[in-house]
Amino acid sequence: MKIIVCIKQVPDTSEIKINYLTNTIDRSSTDNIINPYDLHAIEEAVKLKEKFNAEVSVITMGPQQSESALREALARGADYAFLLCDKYFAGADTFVTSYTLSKMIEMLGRFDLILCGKQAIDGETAQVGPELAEILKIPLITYVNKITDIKKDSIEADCLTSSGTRIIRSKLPALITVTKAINIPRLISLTGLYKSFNHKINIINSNELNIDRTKIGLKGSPTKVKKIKTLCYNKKAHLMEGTPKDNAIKIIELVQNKINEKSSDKNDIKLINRNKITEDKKIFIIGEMNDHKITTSTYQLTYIAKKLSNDLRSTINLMILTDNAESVIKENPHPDVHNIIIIENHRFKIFDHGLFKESIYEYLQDKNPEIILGTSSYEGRTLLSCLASKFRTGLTADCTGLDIDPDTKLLIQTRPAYGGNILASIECENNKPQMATIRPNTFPYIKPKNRRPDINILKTNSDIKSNFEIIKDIKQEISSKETQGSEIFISGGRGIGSKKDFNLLYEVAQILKAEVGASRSAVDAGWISYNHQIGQTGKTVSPKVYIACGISGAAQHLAGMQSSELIIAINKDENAQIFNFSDYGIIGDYRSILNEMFKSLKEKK
Amino acid sequence: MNNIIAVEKINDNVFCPVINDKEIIKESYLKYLSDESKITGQMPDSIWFPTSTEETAKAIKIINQKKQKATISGSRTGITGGASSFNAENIISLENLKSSPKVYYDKGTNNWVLQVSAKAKLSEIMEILKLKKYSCDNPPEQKLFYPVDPTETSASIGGMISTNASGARTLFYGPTRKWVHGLTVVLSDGSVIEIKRGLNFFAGNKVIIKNSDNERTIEIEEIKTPVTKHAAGYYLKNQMDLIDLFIGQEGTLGIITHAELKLMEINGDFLYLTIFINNNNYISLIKDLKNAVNFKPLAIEFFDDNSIRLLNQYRNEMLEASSVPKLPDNIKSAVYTEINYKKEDFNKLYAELNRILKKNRLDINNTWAGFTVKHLDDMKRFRHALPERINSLIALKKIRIKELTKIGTDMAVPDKYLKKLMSYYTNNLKKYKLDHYIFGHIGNAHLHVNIIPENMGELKIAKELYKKFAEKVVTFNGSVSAEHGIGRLKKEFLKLQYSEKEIAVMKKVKTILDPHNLLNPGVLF
Repeated sequence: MKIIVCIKQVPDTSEIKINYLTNTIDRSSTDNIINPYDLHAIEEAVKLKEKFNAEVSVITMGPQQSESALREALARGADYAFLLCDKYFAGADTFVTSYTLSKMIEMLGRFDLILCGKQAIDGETAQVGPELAEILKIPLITYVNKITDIKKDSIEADCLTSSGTRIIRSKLPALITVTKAINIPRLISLTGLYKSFNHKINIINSNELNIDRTKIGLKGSPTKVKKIKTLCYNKKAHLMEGTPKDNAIKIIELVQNKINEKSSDKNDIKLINRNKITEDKKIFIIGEMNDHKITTSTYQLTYIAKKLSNDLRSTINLMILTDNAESVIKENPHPDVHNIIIIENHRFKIFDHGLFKESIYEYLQDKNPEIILGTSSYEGRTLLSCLASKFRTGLTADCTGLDIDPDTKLLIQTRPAYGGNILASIECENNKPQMATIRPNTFPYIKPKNRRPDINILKTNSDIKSNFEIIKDIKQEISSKETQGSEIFISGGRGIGSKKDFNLLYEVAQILKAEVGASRSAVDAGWISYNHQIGQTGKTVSPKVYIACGISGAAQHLAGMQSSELIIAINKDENAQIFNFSDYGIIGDYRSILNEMFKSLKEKK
Repeated sequence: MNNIIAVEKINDNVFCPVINDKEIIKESYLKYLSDESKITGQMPDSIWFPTSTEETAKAIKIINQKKQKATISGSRTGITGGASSFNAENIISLENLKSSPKVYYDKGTNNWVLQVSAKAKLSEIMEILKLKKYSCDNPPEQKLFYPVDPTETSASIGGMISTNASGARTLFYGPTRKWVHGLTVVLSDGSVIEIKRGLNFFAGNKVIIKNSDNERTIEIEEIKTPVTKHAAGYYLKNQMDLIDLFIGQEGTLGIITHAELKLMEINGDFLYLTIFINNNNYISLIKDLKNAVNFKPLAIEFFDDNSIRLLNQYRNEMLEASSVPKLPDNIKSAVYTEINYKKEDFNKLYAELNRILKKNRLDINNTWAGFTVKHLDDMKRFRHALPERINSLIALKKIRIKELTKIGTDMAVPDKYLKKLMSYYTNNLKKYKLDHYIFGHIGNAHLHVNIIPENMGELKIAKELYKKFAEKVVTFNGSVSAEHGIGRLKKEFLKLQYSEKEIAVMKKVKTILDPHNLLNPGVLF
């Protein structure tokens, strides 16, 4: 068995320091590390090697210093190491990176399995794995939590979906991207280090790769970063003093005042009238369904699409793939778009990125789409990555802002990166379509007026073939309410202390009708499940009130909650970053405050 | 040899910022009353925040005129109560001293030197050097670092010098004393002296401090100190350099406002190695590591079986957030070491390590090795998880019994007594069935015994045991305080370490330099 692992050396984003005076990232203060998810990919490959006598090759693309990442991979048990290093490779976006990696993989010859981390912590696109699979034309399984079975010519894996998990069987060769749940990376032993230090690292340049230099590096990249700015926060918490009881009462008062505040109606955007459409720059939205209902995040996409269509004077076309067109037709009112295209096939009952990609591509290839938008859910990210790769165009993942450049009419795609520390504006100048996935809950969900878009139903040939089989699709019961509904969040971080201590948050949340959230470190500690995670690598929320308990306020977390209307922070550490981003702050133990809140809320009842 | 030092001419026309409203102190400045010993001191009348040496001198002059006393406060990370304010109307906090770091090459000693103010924290010094955030006429091309590495990186350099602090790498680099090149000191009468190493010595065991209108003679007598790591009482040697008197004096002889530190160049590669031990051979392992031919460890640290058990528990509870990796099964103890080597010598280094591990019947695969900054960081966090966890254990117990405290020892002995001392520790701790953890700088035969008493009865036993341990350490020619200093908490141990006569010699020096006992009253004596 031959296994290839693609890894990336990244700056340690958890250590990134922002100079809030100059608003710049202190890059020199961060050290380079192997992307943490890739460590799990290496470990899984080495485990397979030990079981099946496989041969593990590790590839990375980067400057000379990336050699130390490969040294580490060798020390962890890999057999061969390849460093793609050439000034012509520099500045590559995800598509070109995938393309370059694919050339290296072709050069290596036959292989059975490629492993990648689910995403890198610097760019956080989760695109290179899917794009690489698409270029190599091999099956892809993303977000793998566990390899449940592997045979000579097939692999079975348990992986994450937005609604739970599923087990997929696929033919080999295939590419899988892995989560941290898949294993615990071993400690490097002294023997491993010895082997690694006495091992050759193959350095490959663009000549040896036999690659067209115009198609690689910054030059060949469809997407280009146009502007970078660091997030600027200038709130300074008003520090509350007094006994825990005083503070508890004050918080309850603040929360109630905020909730009772007349919610200013969020401004809806009017859909441009058909007779005003001059240019034929069509916008397509790849809609998502859940239980035969169009998801809220899809509605949120229509909001931003309307803004873009007003600027471009173009139509908005919502594409829905379903096994039951009737359910979409019956939806009332319909999403606020010009056209809905429903592609119906019984195989579309369950999301299958391979089938979906082929059908969407087949439909769109002669339609000249200007812009394609999707949701940055697990499914949306994977599907749009494959689709972009198929179109040989760029894709910007996880955008939090979309605008049209008034002069060039290009789509300006804005997204956070480096653990939420910076905002990058990206354009895709020379390739069409321009593609982006959007963070759920970045744009408002507004119930559409009673409008009737044109509906077009296409029934596709029923015997389309998937290159994998879905063995089980398990919907996880999500006890918490749908996130966007909650007006109040109570979130806990590492300062909460234990799994048990989260009960106090649940108790208070129940009376306040609030939802419980968590920072990444609390989720990593195993105190609370991932679907509560708020932040750059979790979900984004913008409730009326956000109460942060024992949360230090890393940029990663702020990225997911900073648009909350009122932020109250409770933290023992007076120097905690969170106080720089909150409206109110209490320096103290969250337990005493929440206990008092609980008591006093109970009394009121 | 020059044994006369003239005081500096300084501008006296300055104003030292001060808070002297008790209500305001009560409201916002309470943290200045205690340090990490968590002993809360008494309310002062004034807290001074000088921003310069001149302002510090001014504050002292005012305090002197009022015949009052002052507690000197750095970043309050000490654990012996040195900065917990008692019997003094004033606190002088140095945390607002202005600092503009400067690096220069000292041709006399062929060393790079860093100038910083006393308030600079260790973490800041590391960052200043890493990011080259200093001014320099001829900036060095190579990377420089300050090699003394106390665990608490928020400690201030003034505090570290005043207590002659050390860290894991003290095994190789020695304690702070070795790295102090110059000091600016404010004396108890408000006069200021600038001392450079190698310029002023106790010739004939005397130094004369010359002012425009008076002269003072400090006379010393040599005191024998343990050959181990040591941070208890004044350093007093025949013909010694004047600068050494002010290192380890715990703020009782003068206030350090500026420091010049010797720096090292970073050369070669680093190996970070944790060896997991499943037998009882750790003492022989340490001996072999120290006697190796092809390398000299920078640090050798130890975790006993209880520490490993506690860390495993922590891992099970907190997973990744604990910073403790999944450790191999059946480990009895662990040893951490750091080695600086030349790339071409790695295989020789490996061969010798391999031989040492084999000899001690240890499995070379049962190791955790690293070579990047990230690996060092991971292992640091692993090591620091232990004291953190121990502190939270005692914090939990304190909820039930408020007066309960942990007992943490800080004693070192000459290497040859290490084995004897370890069995003395464990036999006694087992005899009284006390929950205990032994860890620390075993390369210097300097281990911290931490006892977590269950109740007040156990606390009493633990305190008695500590005294017993200290007595034993003294009989082994060891130090009762190897790195934490004496402060207010360990004064009785000073009496164990030194004879009455020796203490009288120290007190005599104190009386000459601080006749009114203005500086840090109640510290050391």
